[in-house]
Amino acid sequence: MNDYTDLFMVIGAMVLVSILTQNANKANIINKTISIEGQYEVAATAIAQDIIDEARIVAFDEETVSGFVPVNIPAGFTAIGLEEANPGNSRVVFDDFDDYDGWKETITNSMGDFEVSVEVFYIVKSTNLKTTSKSTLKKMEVSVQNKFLVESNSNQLKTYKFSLIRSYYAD
Amino acid sequence: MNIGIITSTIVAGILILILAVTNLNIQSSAQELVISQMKQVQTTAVSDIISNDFSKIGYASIGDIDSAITSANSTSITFYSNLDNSGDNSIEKVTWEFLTTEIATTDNPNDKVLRRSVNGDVTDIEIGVVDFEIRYYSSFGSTTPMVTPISSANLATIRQIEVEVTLQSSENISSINNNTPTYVQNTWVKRFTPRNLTSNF
Repeated sequence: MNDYTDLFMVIGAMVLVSILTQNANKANIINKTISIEGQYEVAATAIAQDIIDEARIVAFDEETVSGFVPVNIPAGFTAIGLEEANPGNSRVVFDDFDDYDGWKETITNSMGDFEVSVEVFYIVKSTNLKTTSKSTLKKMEVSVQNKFLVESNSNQLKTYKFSLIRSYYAD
Repeated sequence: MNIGIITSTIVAGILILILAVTNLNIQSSAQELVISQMKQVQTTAVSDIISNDFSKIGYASIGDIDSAITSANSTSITFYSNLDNSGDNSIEKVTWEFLTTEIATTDNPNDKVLRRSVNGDVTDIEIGVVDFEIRYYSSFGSTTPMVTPISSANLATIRQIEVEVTLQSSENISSINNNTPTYVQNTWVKRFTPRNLTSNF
């Protein structure tokens, strides 16, 4: 034993306590992050559901807005996209399902800002895969991002995707 | 007295203090997490009931309901719907109302009664609702809510209804060095597009 024994023991104790405190703080931060992320995920889901609910109510296609049906199905359906002018990027003018294609907006509520974007496309009945041909099935994909929802160990925003397949014959 | 013993005692005191504070923080965090999870479960329970009711505004299994919404305010709404999808097409009168009655059994002074009434059968929801707001929109995606209370002439123009519910914990979770009351809070916002409100097309 030399004169520095006490000092070494004190340093050792301090190191052990520091490690313990650091781990405890890390656990606290992880707990809070998980809790907050859970709330924002619920909010993101609600926003995507809002868009999907809304899009289910409008007509399947521009050709069916008036209640009439095209002579040739599905060839008589219009191409994907908005037919009307929409300078304000507003959903007010949307009157059929695929009008939502390409729509993007920052939706703000009491939880903060959510970046929402929508893609609509025709899909193949047998595979549910995207197709450029017209079919009686359209798929909507709603993507939602929020600055508090990031990939673990990086600052990259997580994208939450929600989808709906709509059939012309199910309307 | 030996200087070494004095120093050791001081260092040991500091270490014990650090351990005690760390332990308190861990306990506080665990408590907050448990309460937060409880609140999330309760928020989901309330949101499920709201979603069930609001999506069905104006629904009738046979025919239509002429005036689906009979009153619409920022904290209350009354509407008609065949809520239970009964075969005899009986229409229920449903009212949601955020009362100003404080819940006396909790420590939180902000929580109030959220009342759901179906044909006069009253259910008081007393699980820490501190805010319940309803906003009405006359077109899809509109960012400007209609002015409340909605006049009877404008009730038929409602297309979308946004509901915001905020729940807080019954228990104060403020730490020992913070005297300001702090409650775990959970907010849920959803905009409904009831299919049976006349579409704007």
